[in-house]
Amino acid sequence: MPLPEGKMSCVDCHNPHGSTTRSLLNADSVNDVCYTCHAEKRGPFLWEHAPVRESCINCHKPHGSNHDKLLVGARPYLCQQCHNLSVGHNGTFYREGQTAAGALLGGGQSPRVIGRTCQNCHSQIHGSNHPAGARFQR
Amino acid sequence: MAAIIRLEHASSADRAERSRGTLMKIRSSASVSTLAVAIFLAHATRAAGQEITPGNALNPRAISSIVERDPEGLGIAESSRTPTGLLIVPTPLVKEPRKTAGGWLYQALVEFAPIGVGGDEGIAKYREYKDLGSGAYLNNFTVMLEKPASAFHFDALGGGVPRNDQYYGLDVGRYNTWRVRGSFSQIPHFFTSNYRSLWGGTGDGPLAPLALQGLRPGGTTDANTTQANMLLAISSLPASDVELGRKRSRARFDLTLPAHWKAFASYAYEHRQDFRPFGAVFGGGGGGGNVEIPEPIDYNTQDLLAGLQFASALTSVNLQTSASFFHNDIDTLMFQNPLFITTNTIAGVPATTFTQGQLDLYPSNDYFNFRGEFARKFPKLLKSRVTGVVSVGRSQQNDGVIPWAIEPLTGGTINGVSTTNMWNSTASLSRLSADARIDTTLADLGILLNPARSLDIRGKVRYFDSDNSTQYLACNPQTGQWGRLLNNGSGGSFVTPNVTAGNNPVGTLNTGYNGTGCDIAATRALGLAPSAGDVPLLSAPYEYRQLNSVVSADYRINRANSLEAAFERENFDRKYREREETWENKVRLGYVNRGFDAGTLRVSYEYGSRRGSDFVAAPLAGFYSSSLGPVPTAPTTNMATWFRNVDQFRRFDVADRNQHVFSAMFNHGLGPALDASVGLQVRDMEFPGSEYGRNDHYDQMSPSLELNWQPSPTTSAYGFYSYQRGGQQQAGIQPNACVIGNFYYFFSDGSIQTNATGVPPAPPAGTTLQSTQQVATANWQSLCGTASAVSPLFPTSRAWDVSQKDRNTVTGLGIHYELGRVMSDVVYTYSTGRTRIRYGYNAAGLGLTATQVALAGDGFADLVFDQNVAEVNALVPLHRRFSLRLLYRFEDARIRDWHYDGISVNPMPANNGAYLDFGPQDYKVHLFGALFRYEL
Repeated sequence: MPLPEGKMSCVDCHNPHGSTTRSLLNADSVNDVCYTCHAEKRGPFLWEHAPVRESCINCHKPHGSNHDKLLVGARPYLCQQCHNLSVGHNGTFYREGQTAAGALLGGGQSPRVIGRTCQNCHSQIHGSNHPAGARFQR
Repeated sequence: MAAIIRLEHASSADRAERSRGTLMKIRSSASVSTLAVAIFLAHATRAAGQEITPGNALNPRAISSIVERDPEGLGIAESSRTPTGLLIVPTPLVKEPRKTAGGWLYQALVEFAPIGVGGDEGIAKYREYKDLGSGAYLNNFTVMLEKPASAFHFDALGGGVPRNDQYYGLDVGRYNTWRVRGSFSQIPHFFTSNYRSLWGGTGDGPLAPLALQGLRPGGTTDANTTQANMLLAISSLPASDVELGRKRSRARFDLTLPAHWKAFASYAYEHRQDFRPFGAVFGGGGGGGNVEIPEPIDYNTQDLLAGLQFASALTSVNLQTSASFFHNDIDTLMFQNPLFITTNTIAGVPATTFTQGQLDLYPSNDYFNFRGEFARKFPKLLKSRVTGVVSVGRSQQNDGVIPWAIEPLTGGTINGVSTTNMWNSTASLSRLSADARIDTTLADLGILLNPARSLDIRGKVRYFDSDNSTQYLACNPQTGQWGRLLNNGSGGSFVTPNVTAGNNPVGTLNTGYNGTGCDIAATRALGLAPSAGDVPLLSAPYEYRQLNSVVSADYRINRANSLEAAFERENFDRKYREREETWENKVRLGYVNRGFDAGTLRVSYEYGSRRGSDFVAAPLAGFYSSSLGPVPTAPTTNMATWFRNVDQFRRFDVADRNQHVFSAMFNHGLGPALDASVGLQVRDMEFPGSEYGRNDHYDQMSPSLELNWQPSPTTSAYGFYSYQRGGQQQAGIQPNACVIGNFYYFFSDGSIQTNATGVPPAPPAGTTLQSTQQVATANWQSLCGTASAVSPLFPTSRAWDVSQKDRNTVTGLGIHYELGRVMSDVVYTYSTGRTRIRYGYNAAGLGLTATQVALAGDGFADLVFDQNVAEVNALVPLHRRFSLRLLYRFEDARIRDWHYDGISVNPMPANNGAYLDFGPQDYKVHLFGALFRYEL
């Protein structure tokens, strides 16, 4: 977030004089604060992603992170902290060697490791309004 | 780590923020009476989307970052301290304004100059939220006009003119009568400067799709030929930017009314435009083909706010209504597909049919809120205060639902049913528009009692309800098929009656559900066992209710020492989640000692314990195809889709959790002009019931040290160091299989083999057979659903674990020195971030080859971010009103992110997957400026 660039300050999200929320947020919920700047994610969507609807900070650390998009952890592992289905790829063990560099050495590439990882395909991860959007791909 | 690493520690700019003070900001603060109301009422909030913070990278305080200090401050003596013992930061000097004969006071300041930038100024990380390139630059300006006789005032400020991070503010009015404020701010957002876009066009619908440049949509001949063509195209493309711009403006009007009432209204408008990185997939998943695409952005958001405030000596009332209208001018993205994809589910349609893709981008939405706040003091009743808040809101959108497919899918079939013109019109949808709505209700009641001079007791109850009434039925009324046509027809996820012998009456067809006309009750009434259990049929309207009850007390032992104790109970009721209810008890103890000569000690500890109702691994059974009929358990039936997660898997947001939070801060004056502060925060979350998923401990520790030296108003320096360590663990299990009748053989090295004969295969070299299990109608659920050494579906030999360890440091210093009338500032910040990922696994259990094991090792290379930012300023007076500001700024950064390893040389590691963002780049930039400052 552009705090060092002077485009935001603490009081854009927090009200030091008091609030109904524990972290002195200046809205009714964490998500309502985030929608202040990200109104497009307000939805609601035909297909909702449960932890997204409940609290953005399930996946994001608004005060800072070592990871892209202020995520709580590195993908694909962050996604795998909730998803380990009995079929498909989300319980798969992902590893070094599956990057684009590793693929040249015979590691076996995986789109879940490279670049945007899971969001290479599940690009509508905040919710989808497409009839086929249950997996947030469209 | 590609584009953004923002640290929690305060940066130099944040520190500078602490001492901000401008004429506008002073006036922007609420008037004394309004401020009193805000503190008294405590809940007085700002409506979402209403505020604009002025400033940019060179002017994080909105005005010039080098300002004269006021030797007298706000009337406070040199080296004086706050009640907590901290040295009071020298305040900016507010100069005496000039005066006209007519009684007008005025003042103005402007900084302008060309600036020169050298180095890697085109790199995205450098430009992330700023626009600092070479050229003419009006760095900042302020204008003040005031007529004390009439109480009229006019203030304006701005900066960054005419760059993409410019900002402006206007504040005009008559004190305690009326006030109008306006502001505008522009924020650039660079995601990458290392992108190879294959497309032109805007992507806005079928008439202007993202059109391939020089490549044939849908691929050529086969996947390998298409890959070769794409690689040639990618290699010939120069690096380009993916960025978007945000422009935000706002106007607000405040009016003081008689009898303690005030009214206000505001309007804000924001426009975002350009592109951000995005991705698209074909087929049934990543195997069908995936490609990075740019997402066109054209967002417009309008926010309206109006309200009334009443404030008397005893009573305060706020009534406020707000509305927000988000409009996406590109809510459907069309793009031409460069890949030769692999289809699934659909038969008879060549892969090259899928020349384009379509995504339904964020729908336009509306939000409405009404809020009432009340507070009253009862001086004669234990000096008590009561506050209450009621807020009701509604989010809604009714965007048109787009058809599943773009193409007519001529000649194709899905499970034997023709696809021709069956999926490419709105007649294929179960509803034509979303009609999605979430209603929220907040009620908050608080009371403060002061039964004794040394004791405050607080009570609070907060109720929040999010009620979702959105639902979509995944069925095509034209064909009666249940499930979803995926990715514009290139894949599918459908359920049919199970046709494995023995699961349904003889003669049952896989079209057996199709005649019910998408009536889910009628389909269930057929009593036919489905082909799979995990096909989504209905969307889940996730909703929850939250109740927080808090009791706390502050006890002042004496003038210097005080204790705080609090208990909070939080109850969550969630619908359609793995747990219907969770409850958490939190206890907090705090101690404050202000008894030091110039210092304060604060210590607090909090313990929280969250538990809940039974955890259900498959909470959405009624929303999936498993609800259509009995479970099919005939021999050879694959049962894997009847499980969701491993039984022992716990999603961390609803899992049992024990939490400890310890926080301590101590500041002390080490001399009349020197402060030292040390802080420590330790947070530890334990997930005691989580075997898989986020487990073990999620912890964080942050010690910090700050020094502040202010020997005189003309000389000061500060330094800080903070360190943060965090860790998280998780475990998963790579599923195997669970087929009724099959035998599963578990060998000593963790490998697993299966057959239907019951004759054990020869053990792999050096291993022995440990166990044999047969999946049967009677045991499939218990045998397969729970992870164990002998589970055919979730064998623990296929389990893996991952730990992520974050390490961050931020070190900084700042010096302010004035030599005569020459002022100088030096600010420097060094930030580092490391994330180390390590994992454990059984290679034999996972069937990895020796090459894969050698490459995998025990973890990824560290994610690395190092950044230096230094800025030196000198302000040299040339004349009574002219000054020269000499500016030098240096930034460099080094970023290593394994997600992007090798993309630049291997952007298509598979013949149907393309990665076009080559990743984050290091940079080193020098910025010079000789800015003229003119003060009127």
